[in-house]
Amino acid sequence: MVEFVDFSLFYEEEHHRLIALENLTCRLEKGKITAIIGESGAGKTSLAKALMAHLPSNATAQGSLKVDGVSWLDQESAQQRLFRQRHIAYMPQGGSENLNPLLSVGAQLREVMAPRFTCKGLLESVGLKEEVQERTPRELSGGEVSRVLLALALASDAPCVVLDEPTAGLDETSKRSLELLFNSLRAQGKTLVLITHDLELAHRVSDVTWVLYLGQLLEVLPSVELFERALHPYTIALSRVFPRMDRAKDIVKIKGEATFRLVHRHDASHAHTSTPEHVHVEAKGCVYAPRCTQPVRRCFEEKPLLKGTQNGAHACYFEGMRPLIALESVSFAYPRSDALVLQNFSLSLKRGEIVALVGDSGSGKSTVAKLMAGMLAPKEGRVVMEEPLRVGMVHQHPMQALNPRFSAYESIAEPLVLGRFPKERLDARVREVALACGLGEDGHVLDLLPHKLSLGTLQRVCMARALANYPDVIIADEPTSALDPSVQARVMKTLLDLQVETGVGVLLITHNLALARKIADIIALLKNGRLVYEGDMPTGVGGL
Amino acid sequence: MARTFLSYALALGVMAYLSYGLPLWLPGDFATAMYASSDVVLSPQEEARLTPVPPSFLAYVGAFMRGDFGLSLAYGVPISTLLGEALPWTLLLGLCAYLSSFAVAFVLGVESAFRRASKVDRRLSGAMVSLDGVPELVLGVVFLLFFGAHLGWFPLQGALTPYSDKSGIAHVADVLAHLCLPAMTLFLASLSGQFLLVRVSVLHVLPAPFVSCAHLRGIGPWRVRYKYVALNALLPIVVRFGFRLASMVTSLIVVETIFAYPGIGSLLMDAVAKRDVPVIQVVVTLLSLGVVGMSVLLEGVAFWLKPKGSLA
Amino acid sequence: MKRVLREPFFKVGVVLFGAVSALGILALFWLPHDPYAFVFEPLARPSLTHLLGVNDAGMDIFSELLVAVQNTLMFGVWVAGISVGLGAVVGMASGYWGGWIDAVLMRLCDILIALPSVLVLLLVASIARPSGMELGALLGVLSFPIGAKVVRFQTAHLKETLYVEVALQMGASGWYVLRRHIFPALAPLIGFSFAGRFRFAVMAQATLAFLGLLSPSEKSFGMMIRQGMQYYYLDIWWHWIFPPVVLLGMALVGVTFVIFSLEGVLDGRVKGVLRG
Repeated sequence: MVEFVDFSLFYEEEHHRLIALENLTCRLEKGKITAIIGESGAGKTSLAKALMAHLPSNATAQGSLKVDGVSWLDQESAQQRLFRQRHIAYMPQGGSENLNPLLSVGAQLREVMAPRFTCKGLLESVGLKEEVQERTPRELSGGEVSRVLLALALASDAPCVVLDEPTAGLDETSKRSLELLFNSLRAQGKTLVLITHDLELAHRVSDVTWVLYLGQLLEVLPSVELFERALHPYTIALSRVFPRMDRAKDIVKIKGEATFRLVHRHDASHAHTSTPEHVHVEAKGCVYAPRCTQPVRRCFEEKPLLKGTQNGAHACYFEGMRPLIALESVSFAYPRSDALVLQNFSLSLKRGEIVALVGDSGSGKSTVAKLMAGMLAPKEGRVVMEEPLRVGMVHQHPMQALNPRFSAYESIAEPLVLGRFPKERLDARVREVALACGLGEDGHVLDLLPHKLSLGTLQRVCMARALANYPDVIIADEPTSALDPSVQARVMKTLLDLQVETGVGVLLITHNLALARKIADIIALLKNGRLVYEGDMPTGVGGL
Repeated sequence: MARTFLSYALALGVMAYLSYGLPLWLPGDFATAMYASSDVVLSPQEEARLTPVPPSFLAYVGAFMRGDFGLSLAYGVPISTLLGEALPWTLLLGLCAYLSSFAVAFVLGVESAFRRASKVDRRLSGAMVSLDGVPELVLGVVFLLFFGAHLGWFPLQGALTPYSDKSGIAHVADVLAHLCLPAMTLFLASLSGQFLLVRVSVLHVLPAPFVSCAHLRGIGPWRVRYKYVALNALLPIVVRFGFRLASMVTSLIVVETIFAYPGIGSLLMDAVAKRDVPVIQVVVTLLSLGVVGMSVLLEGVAFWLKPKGSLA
Repeated sequence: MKRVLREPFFKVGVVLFGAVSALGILALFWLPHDPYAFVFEPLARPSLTHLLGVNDAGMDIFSELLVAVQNTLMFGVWVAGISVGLGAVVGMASGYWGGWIDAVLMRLCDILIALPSVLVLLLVASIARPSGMELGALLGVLSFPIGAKVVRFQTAHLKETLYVEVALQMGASGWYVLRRHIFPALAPLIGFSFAGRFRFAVMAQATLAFLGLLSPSEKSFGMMIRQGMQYYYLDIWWHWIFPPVVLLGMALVGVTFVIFSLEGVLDGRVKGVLRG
């Protein structure tokens, strides 16, 4: 129904041009609900406006955008107006500011209403009572305003409706009723474009989801796969940002900040113009690379193009988060015994992901840790690792894991020394990572010997040591079992923050299922050497 | 256990071979030592007699086993005779001094350990440590000079007054008088080390739970002390005692030399001075046999004493 | 560690030993007479020019004594150095790498321990008459096994610690672990061992010299005592025999005190083995 071919949109400012959309090539299917998600500045509203052929004067478009085969942007304004009456309708973002304060609801409806509708019918279809048509916008509640705006959009009976954040600010019940409405609209054969940043809404209601970021279409995928099988790192990161009712894990942010993209114009004399903080100059490479947790060099040099897979497409050189370490059908027994500690065990740890391995004592958890760290070799099966791989480990008993003669500084510096880190930067790095683990505030902690420090501090020294040489993976084997609960919380929080900042993959081994659910993206349950569950454990599941 | 036995057997073999081989490999022999600087010229036959062709090692060992020790080059008498004369004195001195030393050290050590860090313990330990630092050499010389030469209370050398023919009680008194200083020296020299050894071993056993359990069961302190603690401490004592054997032999030799006491030690030293190779060989080998034998015995005792899964 | 420094045993020990060493150091710079020159009137009484008199061969006793201190101390350091050095190397290699290296080395050590070393020395010294340094080297080689066993035990124990495992996981080589983690932990043990071996060496030297097994030209306490003892019936004991006896006693008691006070700091198991 709608087709974008290499479509780009720019806003011309005085000294630069802002990139709103870039090289968009995609198709909106008829009769389906398509959700367009993205953060502020992603270009969602620009896209909506482009669809409506209602762009501001300083906008320039390139490429082709056809609705029902016609490139409406190039048309005369009269044609465009017709277009907006007949082919495509728009429900704007916001509230009563979108309504004429002087006219009654009924009057505003009648202005755009298609012949076959009645005010009453329209109002009822959006769940409002007939008498609302007498009221003015000022007399309506927030929920009612939203519904009126929706009614207005539906009034023209256009086959395609663009909804811009229709459920923003609504309570659950209202949201649910609107969802039902959307479904019925689809059943009627309408094409809906749902612009939202509510992932769960997109997931529940829409058929296809487009993921926009800074004007780029990063992924197109069936909405049911939004949380489980997204392929682009940004989509995956977004799915973790979003608070979900049935997941215990806390929301995490995405590191860094989204910025507007701009290009300086050749003829602009910008030498003395200081670039405001929230914009940055266009660079080559993937737009998401600066905030991505698994970029490689290529990501910064060459922009990945949107590649189609089975029923979607994504613009990344990788498929989903890259696995760092994968155990494939591994069985293990200690050298002098026949008892199998692990049987046919498979687990993979991906970048930017926290996997919690939960099980009772003796279930084989530490063995998995050692296998992943490359300290043991499996009897059967194999361990696949992305090479070269740096693994940092944190253990249960920090007193044993630290040399009692080494000061905290020396312990943290050890991996750097072993990894031949450049000497002139070593000191700075040690202090940097110590500070990141909460060790730096009290200046001289670093010079102390282990016996003078508390267990919680010691554990954070161990974490700093594990993180010092930019590891790809952190394996934490019961890191907080030996600590008091309040200290435990602090250490875990630090770990989480660090994980978000650095994008390391984390294997957290614990016997505490509640803790795992608070921290991990994926929970793997281990019992007697066998994997009995792997997934993200929605509420209602759990307990063996 | 078998491994230890093997090591000791090997060690003994090494000792035997060394005492056999060294004189052969190295320059200098009896004839040269005795006669090189003198004006006496030996006839070839005499020289041949004094520098016998050495037998093979196996023959040597065989002869040894049979008790055929050969002749002393210096004295021309069978070595077994010399041994027969010297050994009793050594045994007398050694047994007197060492047995009493062990007994006293044991009791003192146990009692001191029990009163750990009290004044008694600290003073006693301090005294013992000081004593331990003084080698028997020093002790012996001091005793000899002070009690013997200066005060004149005791004879200065030998086991008996030379050329005397005392008998009965007078004889015994004479022996004792001559025995006194060397025995005292040896007694004190070994007392300190032994005491410290006992004390450490007992201290090691004291904290064991079964000791406090014994107290809790109402067993009297003396019984606890000796039947429970001391007995269990015996094992480490015995084990560590083995290391001291060789130095005990040395002490004996030194003391005998200082006081010119005619035991095995003096015999050996005399032979060394005279380059009397056969005597050296025999005495060294016998002493090695004695030491190694004792060590093996001790290891056996330790093994037998050792309960399954003990601390030692 | 600081506690030790305050202990009376330690202080007294250091003073005693220090006094003796001071004389030795003095000897480096100043000797009243050439100790080897036998030109003076034999058996002369002590006087201002000869503080301790002259011995039977015409050598100044005081100078002899000073040189003796030097020789003894050097001998002690030499022997202790070899013994402890070998013990440390063998112990660490054995304890760390295990396997056949361990088996071979420990078998060798077992045999050496079983050998009554003093008798070996006696034998060698009586027949071969080696120099002091050679004999000292032999003594060092014969006595290293006990130290080696202790070092091996500790090394094996340290190797199993978690922080060593972590270092290995981070890519450390065996040499790094030995150098950075194991050796520093062994250092106090080795130092303690050194003191013990030193004491043993000084005792051994005095004994061997006294028994006449060392070359008479190498001056030492034992040698002087031996020589003096030949004339004990003369009234020379207090200026000829007594000084070396006293100095020897002081040095040994001093070292013994220091060792005793250090024992409290060390691991109980380890020090038990060492004491023998």
